[in-house]
Amino acid sequence: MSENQIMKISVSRYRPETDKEPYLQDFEVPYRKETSLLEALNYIKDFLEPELSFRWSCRMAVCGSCGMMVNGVPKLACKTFLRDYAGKSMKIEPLANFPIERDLVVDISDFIEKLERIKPYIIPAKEDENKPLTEGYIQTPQQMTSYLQFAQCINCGICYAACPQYKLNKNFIGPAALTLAYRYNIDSRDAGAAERMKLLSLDEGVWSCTFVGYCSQVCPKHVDPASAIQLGKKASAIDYVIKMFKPGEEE
Amino acid sequence: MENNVKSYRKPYVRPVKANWWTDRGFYIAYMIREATAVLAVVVALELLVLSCMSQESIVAFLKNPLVILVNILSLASVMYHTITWFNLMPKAVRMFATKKPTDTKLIPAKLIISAEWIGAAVAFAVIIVACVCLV
Repeated sequence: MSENQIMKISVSRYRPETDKEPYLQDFEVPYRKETSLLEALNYIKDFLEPELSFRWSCRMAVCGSCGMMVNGVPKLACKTFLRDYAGKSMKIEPLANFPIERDLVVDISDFIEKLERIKPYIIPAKEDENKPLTEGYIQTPQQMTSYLQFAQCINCGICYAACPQYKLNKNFIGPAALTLAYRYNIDSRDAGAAERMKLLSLDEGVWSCTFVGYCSQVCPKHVDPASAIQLGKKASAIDYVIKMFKPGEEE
Repeated sequence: MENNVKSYRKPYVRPVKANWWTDRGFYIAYMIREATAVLAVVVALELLVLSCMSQESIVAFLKNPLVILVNILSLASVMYHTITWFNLMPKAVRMFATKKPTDTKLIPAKLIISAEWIGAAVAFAVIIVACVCLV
């Protein structure tokens, strides 16, 4: 590949103080084999349009800040390379299914609220509460493998942008939050499953998922939220049957 | 604390179009999978109607080109549903090969899908044998 080819990038702009709705602005950005979309956006900000707003931080698919729609597909800008679009053009829009604050910045507070609601942290059992870490939390390799994949979530919100159920029903707790609820429920160190199960089993919990599966397709960390949600459905169904035979038993 | 900075916030919520699913091939494939339910209903109604008909009228009914076309479409849609659904199934099955604490190998998706097809083949064989024995 020759050095410094040119990519035509159309970027969605929206300035709340002046614009009624978003519009596209075209830029021509020189790129090399290594140029990521995030670098291209920074080039635009540095040399072409200093007012362009977008969120980013780590540049290496860890912080989960730079999720955006690339030709209609939700992706991390730092993990998207211009070379893969050689000969084509790129259309960059803010992450779908979230309100747009400015340009490529979306308001993900709805997702964050749902994430908090499912208590994404280890809730220790009563008897483990005051134990030292080395005693209360020992795990076998198998116990760790059972949830490790689901623990790779970086809360980027890309699965929410991919989910048609979330698009149509904002009450749906959604892929990442449900995945993390399941992840903590199956963690051998955790005793908060009963609390999370109440949310998981709601209509807006796992049962709002119709197994479209696009969340797993686009997840930049290969978390496979669709898998966690189907396993969550299984856990919810088992929980329901158990409760049928043991009514009135609430902790 | 009082905030005297003027806010220009005006979050823009994008409208949801009725044809949102035509944007991506992935969504189209999903909608086709869901739509196969319609042809499943058609086949169920067809069986219901057939069960009330005499033998000659059943043969005449089934020879109707329109009925043949609907049945071919139904078969295709059932096959599509089965293949896509079988391929999704490994996501709902997450099991380790053994219960050994050091065993971190999950049963591979390919094995689960193969097991589904073997199961389907056995079920078909049983149904065919049962039909032959009954007639």
